[in-house]
Amino acid sequence: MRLSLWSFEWRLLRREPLIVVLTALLVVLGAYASVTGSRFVRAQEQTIEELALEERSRLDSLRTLMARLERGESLAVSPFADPRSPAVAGRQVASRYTVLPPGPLAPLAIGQRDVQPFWALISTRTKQTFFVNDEIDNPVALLAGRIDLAFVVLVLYPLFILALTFDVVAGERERGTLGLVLSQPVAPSQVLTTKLLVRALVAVLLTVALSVAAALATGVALSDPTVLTRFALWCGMLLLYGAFWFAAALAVNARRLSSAASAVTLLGVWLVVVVILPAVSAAIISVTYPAPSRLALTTRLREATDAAAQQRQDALAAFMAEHPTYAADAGAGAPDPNVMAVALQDAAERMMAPRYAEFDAALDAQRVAADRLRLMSPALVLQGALLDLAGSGEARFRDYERQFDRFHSEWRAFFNDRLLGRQALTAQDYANIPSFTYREPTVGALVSRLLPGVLLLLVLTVALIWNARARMHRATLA
Amino acid sequence: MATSSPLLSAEGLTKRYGDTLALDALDLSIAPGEVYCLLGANGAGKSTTINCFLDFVRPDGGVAKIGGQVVAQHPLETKKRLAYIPETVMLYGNLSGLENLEYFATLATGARPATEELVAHLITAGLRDDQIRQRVGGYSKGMRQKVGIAIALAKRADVLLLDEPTSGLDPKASNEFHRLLGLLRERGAAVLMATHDLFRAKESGTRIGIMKAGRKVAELRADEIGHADLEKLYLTHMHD
Amino acid sequence: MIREIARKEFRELTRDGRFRLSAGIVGGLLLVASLAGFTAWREQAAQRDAAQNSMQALWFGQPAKNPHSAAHYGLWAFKPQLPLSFIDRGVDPYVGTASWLEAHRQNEFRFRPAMDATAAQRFGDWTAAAVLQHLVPLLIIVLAFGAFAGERERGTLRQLASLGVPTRALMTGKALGVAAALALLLIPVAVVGSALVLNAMGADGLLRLAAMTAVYLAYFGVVLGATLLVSAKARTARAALVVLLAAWAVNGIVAPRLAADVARMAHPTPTAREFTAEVQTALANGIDGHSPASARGKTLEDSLLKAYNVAKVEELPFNFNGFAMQRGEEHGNEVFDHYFDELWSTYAAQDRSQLLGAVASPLIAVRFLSMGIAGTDAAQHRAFATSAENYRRELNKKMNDAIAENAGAGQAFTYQADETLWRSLEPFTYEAPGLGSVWRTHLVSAVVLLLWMGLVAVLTRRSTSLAVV
Repeated sequence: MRLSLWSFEWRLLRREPLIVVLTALLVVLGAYASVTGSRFVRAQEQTIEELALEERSRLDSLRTLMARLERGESLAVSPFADPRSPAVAGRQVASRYTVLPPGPLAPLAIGQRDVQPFWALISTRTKQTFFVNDEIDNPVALLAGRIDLAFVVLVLYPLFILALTFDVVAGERERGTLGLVLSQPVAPSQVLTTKLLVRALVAVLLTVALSVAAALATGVALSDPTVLTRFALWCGMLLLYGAFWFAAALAVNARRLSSAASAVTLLGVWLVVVVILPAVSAAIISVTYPAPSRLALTTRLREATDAAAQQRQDALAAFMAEHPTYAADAGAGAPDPNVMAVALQDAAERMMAPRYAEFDAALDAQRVAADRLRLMSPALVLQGALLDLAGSGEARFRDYERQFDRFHSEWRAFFNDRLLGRQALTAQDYANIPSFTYREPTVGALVSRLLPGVLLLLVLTVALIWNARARMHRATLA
Repeated sequence: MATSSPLLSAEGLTKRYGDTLALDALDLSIAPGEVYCLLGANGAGKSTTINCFLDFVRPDGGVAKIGGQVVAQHPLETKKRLAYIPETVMLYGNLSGLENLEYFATLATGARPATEELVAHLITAGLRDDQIRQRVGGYSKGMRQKVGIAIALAKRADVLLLDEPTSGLDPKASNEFHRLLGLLRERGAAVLMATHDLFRAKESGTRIGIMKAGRKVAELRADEIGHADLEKLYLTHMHD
Repeated sequence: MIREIARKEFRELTRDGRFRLSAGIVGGLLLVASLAGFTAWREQAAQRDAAQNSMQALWFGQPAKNPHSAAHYGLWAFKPQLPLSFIDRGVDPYVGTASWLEAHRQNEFRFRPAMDATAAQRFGDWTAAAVLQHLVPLLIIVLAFGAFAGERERGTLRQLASLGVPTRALMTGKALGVAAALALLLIPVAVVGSALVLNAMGADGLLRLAAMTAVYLAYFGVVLGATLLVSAKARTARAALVVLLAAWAVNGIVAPRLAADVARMAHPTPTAREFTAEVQTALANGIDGHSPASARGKTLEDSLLKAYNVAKVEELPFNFNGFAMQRGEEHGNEVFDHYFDELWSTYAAQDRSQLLGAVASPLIAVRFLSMGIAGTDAAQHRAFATSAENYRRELNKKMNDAIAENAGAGQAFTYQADETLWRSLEPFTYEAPGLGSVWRTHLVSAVVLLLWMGLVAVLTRRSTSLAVV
């Protein structure tokens, strides 16, 4: 019987003009969202390609120049552009790009990528002076936000489920069919569950289908097993989120409300979950864990740099004490200005070290708080999960920043060691200049980030279903 | 007839809504082949009685039984054999008469019956061939009642609960409905009908009960009383 | 009669537990958002003043050094925020509130707060503006969707019609009743808001607050009128509610994003990389691309030698390098003016296209007006950026002129200036544009909002026939 009931429900659903219109709207918006997502990712990829091209041609010409110099050709080379000088090369001339490429499912969720810098031109200089390359999108457009698939799923998908389910019981009561249905030998809970399940399934399948279509259309690399796993998790999260909303609709339908009252109640739930709680969590974060100011950090760095410059002899002495090999054959006379610069930078950064640590700790504390506060609302849970899976969230950016910091140290070591060792760069060195590739977190790490949210969704769903069942046991629906 | 074991019975059925007593220790017993007509003013407790048999209302005291089973304890089993026809049979407007019947018959029997069978029921119930596949949205009240009868037929219901089924029907449709009711009665169904129509109660009922303020104040056999006497009796009860 | 209808509607609403609950929630959210926003604003204002002062102190405290090094040392300019920004933060999270002023380069958009914000913040800030723009309309819908459709379902509309109550009176009365119920919620908030603004900003602030109140009242009027219209036309309360909620979602969630997207497609923004590359190329080769820096330098040298009738630059009565650097700055300024103007006009074109979306969403127009009055729109950011940029140019000119006038021949980069020079630069001050310029910028938005009001007014006045059953 189940099956034939399902097919009847499906038939009823198909003949509801409002539902047909809403479905069409959701499909159109979903299609539009994947176009937006892929255009955005395409633009970033193009920038990345241009960066790579620029880097390759610059390094190629440097290598050619090095080869000619090593062959002993006499060429006029400005001291500010001499590829043999480790200081010059490491500061700018031989710089490589560090890139945070779009995440594996980036076309599905733009997330924070439109406000995060996604590339930097590495240098031996202090990170604060070159790490941030801001995009210049219209601020009004940024404020409005974008329609990507994550938005459709997060905001419109629950509205769609609710539109499909809000008056399943009340509507039948008001139209009078409920009495006839309940005079048949079927449990009211079975009728209600079937009706809701068919509707929820339509919504879930539609959204998953939209995701699959979007993934295929935007060239997400589903043939890669880790990407496929991420995508499967994405679909799993959609299912869970759908289940939560289905359970909410069930709980409201199990109450004897009029259809208008059900609609207002469910709308209230949607508003709290999707609008108010996220806003409240954002407010809590910005009050209790405000993002540390990069501007203030830069200002402090200037002060530290000034202080170091004013005590240049102290700075140099401290530096020499730490690099005895260099000090040993430095001899008398004015130090190499490049070494002096490194020494001053070193001194300034040593003064700044506690500030940097504070900054990082503040940012990390903010992230931890944000991760915890996600558990305030299923919408935040889903948003966090989708952005993590797509690779467009703040966790991945933080991860990039950390990998960048390691690479920055490696880069400095490579050039400064040669500078202090008084070695000119060789053609061989040019073959070995360190390069940066972002390493994605493992699927295991991702899953462990998702886990608390998944548990929350499950608990909420089960609690709502349980509440609805208890209610249906206590009173009849008629 | 009253001697065979009753299909429908109420024993001391009591229902309270706040301070008002909707049903006050109502006893009722209806055997197969009987049409029991409940008369009474609005609010006398007729619909509440029917709702108790449907388990739409849980009694505060006493039991409603169908085929010897207590409704409140066996809501699903008892519903297998009953058919319910309210004042207006509300159906899904987006489905045709046949599709509606298909749906309710499936709910009732647990399996999807053959279409020819369902068509036959609808024809028996008096719908024309061309009406069967029209959407119910355009059906008249009489046509909807016919679908209700067809549901009873498809379900092979032997208990019919009718809540003012003919009020608002034109005389011809009403007549047709009662003809169908006779057909079901002959097949051995027990019928409980709440109605305001004294004439119809006398014509197609076998027994008549008069209710007032949740109590049964009179009960008589339909063939023992004339139209005029029934009306007199009814009004007497309503006045005191 | 209208008064009676309004009174009945008001009485019904205020006795309804659901109204009390939802109005209480919306009012609470509004009040908390206002108070928290105001506190944050005051704190930020204090921080900004402190940062501006310490920046100034750093600048004055520079040791004797070459003026060009001082220009490279540079300083930050901070944007003062009007107190009304606590109501609507506008684009501030996406543009930042500071500008970095240094030699050779015009910087904008450094260190935007949004970069280090969490994704949760993209759901939208919890500001008074967000509550006014999204939640109050929703409250209006919930209050008024059943005004006609509900009465029709309950059969009371039939009664009213049989009594000969004209539709227009019914419409006006109901509108007034709902408005009165809303006033119960909004007036206390408005009083608190004016007290805060008056405290922080004085009379000019009150003028702005009045303008903002007018904008939002107009918006609520449009929403209320549209809600009553839909309620009058819909067959059931359920249908009215579904239609209105769909409209609410389009107005607040879908249309603004769609409009922004379409605007971006119509007038593409360059990527930061493209933009920087273009500026760099133009700096090196001239805007026309045919006058490389070396050639420009040569021309300048030749013309100066000729004008002063000397053979070598060392014989000029001023330091050639200082003079040439200032010429270089001026060339840079031309380039920056050209490209930043282009960028900002792209934004402006995008914003104009976004307003086309106001056909479906009056909120788009309201948002522009609200940001404008609060002093947090893109135009006022640009006014600040321009003012900061002029200050940067003044700074560079002072430094270069000092070299040209005071440095001996060939000593452009060894000449050292002292605190007197640093102190000759007046501290950076910025006066936000007045309300008049806000209206001029957002004239189209204001007109669009007025058109919406007119449309709703005409439609409600014309709905003289009301389906009773």
